[in-house]
Amino acid sequence: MANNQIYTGVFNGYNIEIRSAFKDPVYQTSPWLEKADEKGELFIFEVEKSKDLDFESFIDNWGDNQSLNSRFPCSNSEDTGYSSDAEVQPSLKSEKSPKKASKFSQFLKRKEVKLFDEKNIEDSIDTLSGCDCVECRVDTMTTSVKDVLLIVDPESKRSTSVQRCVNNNTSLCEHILGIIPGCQGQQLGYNGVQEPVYVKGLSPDGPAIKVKDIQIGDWLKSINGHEVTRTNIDVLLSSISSTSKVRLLLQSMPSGQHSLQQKQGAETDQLINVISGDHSNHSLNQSSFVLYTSLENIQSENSSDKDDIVYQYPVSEGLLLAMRGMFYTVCHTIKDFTNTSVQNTSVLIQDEVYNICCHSEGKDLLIFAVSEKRISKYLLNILKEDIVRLLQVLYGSIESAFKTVSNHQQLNSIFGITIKCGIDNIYTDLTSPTPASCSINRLLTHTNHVQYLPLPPDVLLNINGILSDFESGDFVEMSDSYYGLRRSYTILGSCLFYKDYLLCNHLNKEHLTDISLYLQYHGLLPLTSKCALNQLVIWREVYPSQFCCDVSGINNVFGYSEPDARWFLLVVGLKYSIYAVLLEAGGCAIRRNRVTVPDPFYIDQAKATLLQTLTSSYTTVYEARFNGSGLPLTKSVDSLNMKSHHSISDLSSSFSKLGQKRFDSENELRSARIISSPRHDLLQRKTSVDSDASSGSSNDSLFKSSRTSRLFADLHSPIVNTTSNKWFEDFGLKLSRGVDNSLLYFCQFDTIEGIYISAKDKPDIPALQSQIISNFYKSCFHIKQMFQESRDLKKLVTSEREVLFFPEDNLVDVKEHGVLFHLSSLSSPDGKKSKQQQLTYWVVGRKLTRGARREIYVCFLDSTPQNVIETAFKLGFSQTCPG
Amino acid sequence: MQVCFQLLDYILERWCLPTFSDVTNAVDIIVIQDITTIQNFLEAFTEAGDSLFGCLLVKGKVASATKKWCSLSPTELILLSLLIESLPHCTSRDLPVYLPQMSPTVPHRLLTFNLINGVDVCVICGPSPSLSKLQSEVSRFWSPAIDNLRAACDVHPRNVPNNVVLDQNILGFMLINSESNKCLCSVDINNNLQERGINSSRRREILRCYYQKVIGTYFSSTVEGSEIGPAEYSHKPQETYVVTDTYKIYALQSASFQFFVLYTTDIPTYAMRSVTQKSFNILTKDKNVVIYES
Repeated sequence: MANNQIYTGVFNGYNIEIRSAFKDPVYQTSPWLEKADEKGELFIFEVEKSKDLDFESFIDNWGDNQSLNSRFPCSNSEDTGYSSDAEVQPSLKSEKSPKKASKFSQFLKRKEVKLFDEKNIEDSIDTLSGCDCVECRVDTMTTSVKDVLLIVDPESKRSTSVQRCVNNNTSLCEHILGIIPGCQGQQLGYNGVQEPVYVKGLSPDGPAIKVKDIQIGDWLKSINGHEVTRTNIDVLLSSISSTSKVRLLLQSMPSGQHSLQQKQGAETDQLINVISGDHSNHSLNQSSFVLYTSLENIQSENSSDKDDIVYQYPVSEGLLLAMRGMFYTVCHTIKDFTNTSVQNTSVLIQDEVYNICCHSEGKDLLIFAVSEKRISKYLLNILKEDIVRLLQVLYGSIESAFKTVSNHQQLNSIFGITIKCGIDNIYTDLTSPTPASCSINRLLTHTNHVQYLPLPPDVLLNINGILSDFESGDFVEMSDSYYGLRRSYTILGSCLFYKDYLLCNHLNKEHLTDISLYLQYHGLLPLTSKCALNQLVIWREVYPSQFCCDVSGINNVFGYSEPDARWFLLVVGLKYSIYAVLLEAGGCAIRRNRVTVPDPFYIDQAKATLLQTLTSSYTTVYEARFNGSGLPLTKSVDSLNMKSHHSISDLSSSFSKLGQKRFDSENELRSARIISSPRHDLLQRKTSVDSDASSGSSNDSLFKSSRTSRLFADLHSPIVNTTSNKWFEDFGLKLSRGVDNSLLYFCQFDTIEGIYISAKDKPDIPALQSQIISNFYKSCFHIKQMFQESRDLKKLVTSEREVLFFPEDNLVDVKEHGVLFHLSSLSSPDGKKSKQQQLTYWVVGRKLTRGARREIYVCFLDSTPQNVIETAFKLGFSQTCPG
Repeated sequence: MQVCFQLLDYILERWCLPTFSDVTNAVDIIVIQDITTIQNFLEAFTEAGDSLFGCLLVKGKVASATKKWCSLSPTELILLSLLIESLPHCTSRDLPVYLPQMSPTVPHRLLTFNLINGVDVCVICGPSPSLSKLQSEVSRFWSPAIDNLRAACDVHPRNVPNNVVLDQNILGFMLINSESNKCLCSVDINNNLQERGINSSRRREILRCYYQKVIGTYFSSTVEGSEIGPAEYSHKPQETYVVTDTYKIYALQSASFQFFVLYTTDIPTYAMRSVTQKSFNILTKDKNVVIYES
């Protein structure tokens, strides 16, 4: 790629001096190794945690308390990174792919930096340094002034990189603050200030990147109270000579990207607590149980009462515990004479219905018991299957998961998170009248599909390229030819998540499901949708279900068998993104027999790859997509409320007029939804899209991942920006030509890829629309259930085995299912005329089997003509061709 | 007690039940012509039996009943119909019955008389008159109505008179009135469709199954607990449909009625709605179907 060549040229400039330094194996003293536990697993998790009093002290003593870093009850520890490697020069080992290597080198220069988000300190008894910070003040205007306190330690930093700093004309600002300063023509005169300094990029190892309030494009107003200009910034910074606090005053550019960050609330805190292993308050929760019993080691004579219980969560006494013998009997006897397994049973205890779901393996039994009020029977079954699969992925088998006592703490965490996040959320969704729409999505996250965010093709291509570069493993130490050694791991594939959405996937469905289950049930994906991660690194051995659980299917393919290998999952996360890589040891890579420690090289490379996908030009696109642009538009029904319905003839005539023109030039589906005269809400949306685009282009600097690439940032960014701008314009045009939209909401499942795409939730949904969406999801859920049942039934009918019991229902081969909702009285919101309107809308799900196997769910107004509906179902976006 | 065994067996073998009352909690009816004439005959006969409870069953479906009979609870109505249908065929019988709501402790006598093949008249009465006494009255009361009864019997299995014409694509339907607890169901509505496609018992099965799916998720019925599912939606689900490879099925609810229609695949999906509405209006508004409005 063109970019690569640019980088190559620059790196060659200083490659020579570095190459000699390579002898020193930096990896052997890598902090990743220190933090891994005896099994070679690593779980580091950092997040900006607000309103936690213990946060500072936690950080303060993490160094003494090694156990905090070990794993599951993971600490919110501040990662000191490569501080111990201060003397080791980062190395570029091959000129072949200097881009990667330079990224890599960035990670080797970590320094001891502590930083605090002002929110933490605001209401905390500050144990560490008494450094008070001012809370984030949001001006009434669209811009906001932010007061941020950084603790920097220029000393340690200098020792590593001051030389290079001089060599490469890097400013002090980048070294001390981690902020790459920028000063561009177009910024001149902004607010009337001469030559302001703004944040052009953030260096990945600097302190600034970890503060979520410092964003690319922010205007750096003052340091320690002194006003900053282009000319005096170096002077100001050079006065900082020792570890100290630096107070920065930043003003953010007007941009729509802040809205999400404000939402972070108590819920997130709770989530963080759970992920951090703090689940003290769950045991109060008496309506969910997990129990694993085994009769293997029980001698009938001298067994005490509870010998058979291998594991239980939460640990408590109760009727359900006492009744376990009953479940055991039921599951095993029924299996003996019907040859089928028990799906679930229900028990009435003290007027509360408990659904019980069992998974039996050999003589052992895993029991889930949850109150009917909290989760429906159907969902409980899905949940059980998910967890069983997750445990198989993590531990190889259910038996080994539970019978190893050292796993129990980890299991506690998994169940804690599941009960807290999974069950509770579903529970609140179903009862609260107007639930937050983002949590409704969770109903669907239990369906083995990963929510996918279709990106514009050019961006997707770039990101695919970035991931492929990494996966090919054809660079530096990863290439076979460099050392003449076998590579240590083969990368099977990777996938990239952004705010709980899948952006890019290079794994097959089985692997993807495994990984997303892992992230989901550790609460990581939901977390990234709510708050930014400082750092996340996970390394652990996994047993992918495709290889480990059902080998017969694969190995029967003539002439090929999957290698006898071990697999490792590497997850890195930063900000809102999570990047997961599946590695294989064995096969064509080195076979590993012992405990395998995390490989810092791969971790760093993965982080570098992740960083590449986080450049501002990309994140702008993500955000824009995230806010719903580019996807087929959905319409808020509340705006329709204001005006009376159009007659159908009116609609269809304008449709046919507009349609013909657009069908050839544009994607069918967009035009399909455009059926009426111009409408103000769409125009509004158009302007919002435009403003998105303009904010994207105003901070046209790259997110800085490599020092040298900054020189070429100006070359690089226009490319991406023009394409994305063009794309936005295209989109805007389409909208302005259009018109009313009768599509209210949609959702598409792709069963082969294992992903689903749905309309994006806008941050502020009017009440009526959110009701509709919630109805949509609930009925989707029923429709999906019906599809699933009909599929199961068909399998049952066509299977050779004689079936003892047929399910009650007989709806085979269901293709389409629709529900019409009716809202009878609808008074107009202005209250002037209380004219009664009728609002009726359909939720229709359709299953496509030919071509691609998909399920599409659409919500549209009743007045929509049939031809439009048919086109809506042709909604043909897939992973490779986004809509 | 032995009487119950038959009934229990009958209910348990539900897949061969020709009626729907077990799932709908509403008694199956049949719509016949000249309903007023038959009604008069029935009321006169009931009076002769010193009773207010009288009912005319055609193949186990209620064709006509006295007001008092209609005021029985749905469970009682269904059980009585099922009981009579489940018993072996005979010209007349006298059974003690406990009515679950009306008189759970005191038994009444249920007298049934077979008028013509497939048509029974039943009366619930006290200690008198005796079976033989009433038996002697049967021919006196009913012989003038023999033609009407024959006509009524011909309505089976269509369950609606031939002059009610519905769309050609309709394989079968269920119309349930949750206020009067009656359901009118038919799976042989169009004879021309008899040969091809799905046979009647399969149609019945599909309708039953779909009914069970919809009730409790989108619609609610008189059965306790069925309202929980629909209550989850903030807006009221009105209509729903399913399209499969072999048939299409549509359901709508309007006021106290619920209407389920089974179609062939020949009907376009978008036409289902209007056809269903039209059929619904024919069945509920038409004067022929007057019994339905009671």
